[in-house]
Amino acid sequence: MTILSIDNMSVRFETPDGLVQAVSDLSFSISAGETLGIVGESGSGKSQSVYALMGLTADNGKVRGTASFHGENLLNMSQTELNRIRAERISMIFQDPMTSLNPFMKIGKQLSEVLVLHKGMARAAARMESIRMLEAVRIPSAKTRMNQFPHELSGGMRQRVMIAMALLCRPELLIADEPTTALDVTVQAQILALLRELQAEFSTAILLITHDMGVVAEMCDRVLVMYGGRKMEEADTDTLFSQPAHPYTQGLLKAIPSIAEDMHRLPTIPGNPPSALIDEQGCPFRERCAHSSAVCGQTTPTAVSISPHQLAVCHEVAVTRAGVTSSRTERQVVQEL
Amino acid sequence: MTVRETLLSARDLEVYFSVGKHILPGRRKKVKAVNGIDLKVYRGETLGIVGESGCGKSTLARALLRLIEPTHGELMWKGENLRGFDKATLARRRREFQMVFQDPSASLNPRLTIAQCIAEPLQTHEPHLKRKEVERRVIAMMDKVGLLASQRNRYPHEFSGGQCQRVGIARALILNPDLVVCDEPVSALDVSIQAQVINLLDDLKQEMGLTLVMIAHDLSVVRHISDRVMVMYLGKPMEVGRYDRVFDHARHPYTKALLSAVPVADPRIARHRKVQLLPGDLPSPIDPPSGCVFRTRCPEATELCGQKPPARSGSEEHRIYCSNFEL
Amino acid sequence: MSSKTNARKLSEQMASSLEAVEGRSLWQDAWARFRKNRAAMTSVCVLLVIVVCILIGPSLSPFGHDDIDWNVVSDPYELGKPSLTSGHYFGTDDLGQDLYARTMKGGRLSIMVGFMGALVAVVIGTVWGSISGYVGGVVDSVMMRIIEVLDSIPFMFMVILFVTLFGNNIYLIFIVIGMVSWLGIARVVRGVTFSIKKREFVEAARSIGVSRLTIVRRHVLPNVLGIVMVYSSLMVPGFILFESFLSFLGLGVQPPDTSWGILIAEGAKTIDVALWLLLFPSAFLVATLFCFNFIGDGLRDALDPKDR
Repeated sequence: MTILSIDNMSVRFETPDGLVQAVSDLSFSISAGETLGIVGESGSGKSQSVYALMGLTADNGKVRGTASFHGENLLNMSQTELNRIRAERISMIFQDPMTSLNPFMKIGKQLSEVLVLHKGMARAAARMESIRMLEAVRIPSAKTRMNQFPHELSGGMRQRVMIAMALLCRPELLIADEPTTALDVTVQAQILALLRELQAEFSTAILLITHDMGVVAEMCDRVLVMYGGRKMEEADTDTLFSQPAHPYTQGLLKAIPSIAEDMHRLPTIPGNPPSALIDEQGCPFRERCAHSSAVCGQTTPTAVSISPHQLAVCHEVAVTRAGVTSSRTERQVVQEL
Repeated sequence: MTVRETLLSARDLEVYFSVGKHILPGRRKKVKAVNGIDLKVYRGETLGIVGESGCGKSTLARALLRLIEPTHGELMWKGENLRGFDKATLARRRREFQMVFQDPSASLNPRLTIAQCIAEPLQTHEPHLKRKEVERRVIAMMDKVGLLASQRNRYPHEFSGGQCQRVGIARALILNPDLVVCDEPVSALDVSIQAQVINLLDDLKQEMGLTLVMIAHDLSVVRHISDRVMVMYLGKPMEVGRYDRVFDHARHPYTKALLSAVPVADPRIARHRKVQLLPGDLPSPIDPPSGCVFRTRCPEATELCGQKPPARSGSEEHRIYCSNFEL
Repeated sequence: MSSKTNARKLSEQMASSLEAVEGRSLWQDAWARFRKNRAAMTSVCVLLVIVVCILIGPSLSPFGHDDIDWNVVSDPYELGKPSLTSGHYFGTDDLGQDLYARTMKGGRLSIMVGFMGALVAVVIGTVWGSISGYVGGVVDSVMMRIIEVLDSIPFMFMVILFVTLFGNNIYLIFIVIGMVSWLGIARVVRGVTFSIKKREFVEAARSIGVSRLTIVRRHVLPNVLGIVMVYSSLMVPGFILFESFLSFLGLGVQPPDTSWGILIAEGAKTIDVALWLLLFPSAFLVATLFCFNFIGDGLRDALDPKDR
């Protein structure tokens, strides 16, 4: 069952240097209980697209399109309605937990406050529930932790508290924006394992934003690859890693050094990331793409379905697939995914 | 194995920082950032130093170049006592060992053009050079690191992170140093740019006969670029050796846990691999555990580990510091 | 294909090594942002007009600032009203002195005092703060303690002391006041220097072997300058206001010399019969203060765009 579907969402910012198109025509959907990864490098628009969903776009930004969450459009909701949904049905965790924890308030108070406010629980009950949640995120001696302040915890512990707080109201969707980027690998492994276990326990859908292909491979059922504010490829995780279709995805996967085997020279994607002030026409990846041709600069590519589990947004793929493409539209493919 | 020239060696190197406000400096609490490191860097090799944040690897990098003064231990540079150099000698000899920094845009002065940034070492060490000659060498260097010479009058904020890192590398290499210490040179860069910079360092190393010390927390990067590797934890070495020995035949429990925790970019492997989760948090470097510093989180720890420092076993090729395992 | 792009790259490089693209420095960026700030640019224009007035204004009046027009003395509040025909554009005071000439003359003094005080404070403060911040350690502690000691001496007490000592030389007084009020800017500069010292590019310069003095001159000071500019543009109006305040109390300039503060003090006495005596000098003072504050705000926005 699809719980959230985004259609033609665009985010643009007016800056002193000109108009910045952070996200262009992004469409995707997420079903109950699944984990969808959005990967991309800095400036790909991956974070801005979820900020827009949560109504967190900066003041100089404009969001267009629709994002329907159980049939309600999040993008034109009033602040009060959005607040209700944000707290109870969609929650978010950030890269730096300190940005969302109040440094002057004890952990216990911050957690139980959420329950008192949104679930109308009594203080004592809320406190019990908070302790249970801290235990669920494997925080040792949860009772004593309730009386500590955020700065007294290590980075990994803080991220656990954040996750506990995000899951308190049993949301249907958890948006995790680079949840482990600031952490060390051993702590990252702990947090990822925890997220997987909690997902099984609470059957929450997870929208995971990351730049790390390794994290994607571990966590996600489906992946959406973004570049320059646009979707490049969308596929289920196995297909994406075994048969990447888009030249960008291919390059990205090859450029990662391996931990287990020797590689003589890393294949690279030449060039530099595009400027944020991109023109609307054409494929944002064309200047770094080995397969680019004149058409890539003239028209923006549309999504081509390669199989029921995979679609790529690329002219080159479209040409090579021309003979085999069925008449399915993108929408049908998205629904099948 | 042929006898190789030792470029830089450290024996029992310690860097302690005083914290707290006790009136007597001797009584202040000490952060033991680097706590007894022995290492050798041979000419022409790449030594990788890995560890998680707080293990002291960045402090070690700076201490090796005396950017931070070591509090104890011996440092030998080309057979001379590096710690014995006076200020003037040290400043003069700095041209032989250079550093590349983590945050490419922060390591460039925003008020200088990139040509001025790259030329700074030349102007410092060869002040007699004519302006034309400086410019010629800057342009040659920019070409070498893959920057267009026409961009030389631009400012760092006009460049992307990858290009800024190329500027940083050009600045470190313009004096033809023997040794370059790179402190997390690619960790701030995107994957596609990261590969470019790694390849560039590799090429320049061959071309200019450089010796590299690579500090990194990304194990895959270290494996890719290093000849030898040192794994650090809480200011102490855990395992040292040839990269293939350490990565493919790790013996120290910490190295094993570290390697198992790295996510693999292949869902088929990722689903079946076993992660060795380490319990607890990193202990405070002010008051590290007695005996082996890793024992509080080590799955193999015994009572003995707390009583005496870990035993050293193995050879130059592969060495571990652990009482429970032996090579 | 790749050989073709290589060839193109090569020819591009050959051409480019001859002709370098000019970059946009942070100063240029800031200037561009400042120019877009309408309030600040208007203020610059208004201020320029005021300065030009003050410089050439007195020569456009037939009267000197301390000349007494005996024609109006008999009934200054009636005959000394502002009028273009009598040549007293802003009117006269009760002694028959021309207010236009006096306002221009007083403006010179007020603005000079503002700039000189700020200049002295900024120079001392910047040097003191940057040395204290960059050297650090014991030197820093000693230098900051000195600031604290100076700061604990009551400011007004000092000023009154100076006034009694150097009573008749207003410039000297303000240089001295400038010398006592560099404390704030020294603290600010020290803080900024401290944070710049920890930036990686300073460490990079150290790792190259650049000498301390060059690091301060080349890497630290240019990055402190922006803050200093903002701070000093906000200090100038502070000094102008302070001079007016002192003169208003009768502690500042002594007649026959004059300043906006004295004129306002005199005007305030006759507010019910000769409003113009208060109106003209205050209008000039207020306009000047507004301009400096807008310029200061504009500079801050231009030099530190992240703050907005």
